[in-house]
Amino acid sequence: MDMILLDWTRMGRNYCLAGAVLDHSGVRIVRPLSARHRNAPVRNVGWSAWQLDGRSRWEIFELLGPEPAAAEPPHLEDLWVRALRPCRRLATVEQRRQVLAATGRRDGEPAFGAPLHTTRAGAFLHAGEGTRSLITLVLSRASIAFAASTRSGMTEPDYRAALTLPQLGERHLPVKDHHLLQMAEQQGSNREERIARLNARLRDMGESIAVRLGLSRPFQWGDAEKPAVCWLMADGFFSASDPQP
Amino acid sequence: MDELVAHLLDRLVQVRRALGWDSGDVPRPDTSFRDALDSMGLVEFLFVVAEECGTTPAVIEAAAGHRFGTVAELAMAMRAASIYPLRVCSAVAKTDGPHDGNSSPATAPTTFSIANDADVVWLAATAAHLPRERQPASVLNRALDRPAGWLEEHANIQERCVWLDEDPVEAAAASGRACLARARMKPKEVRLLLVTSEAPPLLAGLASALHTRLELHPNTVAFEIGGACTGYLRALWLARELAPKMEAALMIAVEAPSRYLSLQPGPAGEAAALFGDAAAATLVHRSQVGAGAVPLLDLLLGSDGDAGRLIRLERAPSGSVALRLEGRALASRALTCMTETVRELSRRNGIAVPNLAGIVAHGGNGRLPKLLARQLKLHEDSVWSSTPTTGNLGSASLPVAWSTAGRRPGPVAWTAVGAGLTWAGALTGSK
Repeated sequence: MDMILLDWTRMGRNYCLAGAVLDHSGVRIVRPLSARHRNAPVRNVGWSAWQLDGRSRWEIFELLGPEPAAAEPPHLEDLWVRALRPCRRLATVEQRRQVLAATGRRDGEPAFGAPLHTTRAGAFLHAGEGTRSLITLVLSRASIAFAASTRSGMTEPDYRAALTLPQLGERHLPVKDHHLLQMAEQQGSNREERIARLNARLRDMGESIAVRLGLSRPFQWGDAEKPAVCWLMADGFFSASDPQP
Repeated sequence: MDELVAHLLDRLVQVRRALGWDSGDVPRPDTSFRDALDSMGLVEFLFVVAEECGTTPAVIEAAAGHRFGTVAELAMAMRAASIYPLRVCSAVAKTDGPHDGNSSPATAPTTFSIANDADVVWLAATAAHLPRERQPASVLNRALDRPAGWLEEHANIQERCVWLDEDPVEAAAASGRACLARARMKPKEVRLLLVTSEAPPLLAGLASALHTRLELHPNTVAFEIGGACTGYLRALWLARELAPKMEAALMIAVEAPSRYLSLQPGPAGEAAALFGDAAAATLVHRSQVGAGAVPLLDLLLGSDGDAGRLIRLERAPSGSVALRLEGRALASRALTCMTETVRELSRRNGIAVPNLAGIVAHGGNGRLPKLLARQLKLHEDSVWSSTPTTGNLGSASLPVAWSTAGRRPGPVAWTAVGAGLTWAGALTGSK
């Protein structure tokens, strides 16, 4: 099974990946999980940096030994795999556009299969709700703005994006797009410069931005009797007309 | 414990509870945000605090240098930037003494003020010209695909004014003529014409068009001023500055949002429905002319570009203009700014708020004037606004409210908030 790598997000020191499988039924999103961690207390151990060194979004990987994982809504895309084998080729621009278009919001349905709950700034689903955890939304560039703050003692600032989302209005979502953040970190030496780089990269993408939105793994802090929450996050930003890595 | 620190700790606990993170440990002033909240929680916390302070999270972040250590450190940074929740404001004023004259507690970076008896000028006369056509809320609700009673309940707007086939430029000129007649002044005596509009009936040359229609002297200076809903008070500031030299300045505010903003289901259409059309004029004079002249005692202007996102004009996919309002945050900020502006004017002029004869208030929506009255602990009748029966009249809202209010003798505060974000206030005396 071949997968086009689409989402490459940060999760501590590891990376969380998701991709698109093109088959006879169209485009299907999968979240490959390493089968080595099948018995770990949490599913999302992630992929280590050395496994992805030199790789790129839109690159095609063969998924070895794929096996569907037990359903844990909203993360119904989970797939155990033995390994990812690079095919050493990239998806065509036409395929990239096809993937972004096919993973958009479905008419008349909540974006994630269940209505999102909102707080003042963010949005979430409870664990167990929803039917998918990743979507693409095309937004005007003007409706997106980046910001960041640092909690003292943390090594990295918390980057966030203000996005104006249909029916939800302005939301402030954590930015997890590894490539975008890496570019900003390499080209900017401080917070202001990095935010400027993020906004400049966005400008380079044109007027229409395909934003990949994802729901985090269930997060619980404190009260175990309350349902865990899956936060809405900004996983990726692409030019809608010319999606590059 | 310091009241601001206690307040922040209380909000920290609230946010943690709301997000289901309450593990029972009680945060202390030296609790670090790293231990208390994750990145999403910190943003939530900032929104809660910013809303109460009538500002934006970005302003608090900037005050904190974008670095969040402990709760006590944040309180110190907020205090240094004069950012306080409304609830704490009054206590701070009591314990810390008055703030300096150039800033108000919950506002932001660029507040400018003038208060000097030598500069006093007179609002000689004001006249309003409202459109003949009224659109009742029932019509607006249908256009917005909303149920009956929706606009009335959400915005307290019973009807709004629209020009339809009337010429707004001619209406503006008519308000100018009426104003001059009330002041018993001739057009040729006007030395300065200031025109303000956020939705101008002419995209260019509006001041010149009015200059011609009013038959002002060819050498009379005419120009346009921005400032959206605070445009009238910005024009007043300029008129006051120039009055000693120019003697008589005519200010005209004219709005025609119905020509730009289309009613349609969805947020942009619902924002459009809040606005109405109108024109009004005020003559500002160096001397006390006209039977109803009142002195302008004080005036302050402020702006905070960081909050500009709360009111945005965007190009819709169809190519038309769409208005985007961040409803709750905007209402909260507007209410705080207007409240604090009135308090500041009262404080520095030695007039207790209950002793004001009234407040001329810009009504972004029809509920705002009542909320302002409640914040200032005044009777609703003391806050004058036409918004419930005209819609939000933008820069014309204050002169329309002033000219139609059942006034009482005594000092009157004027206050408005507009896109930018800008805010402004004025204090006028008895006639």
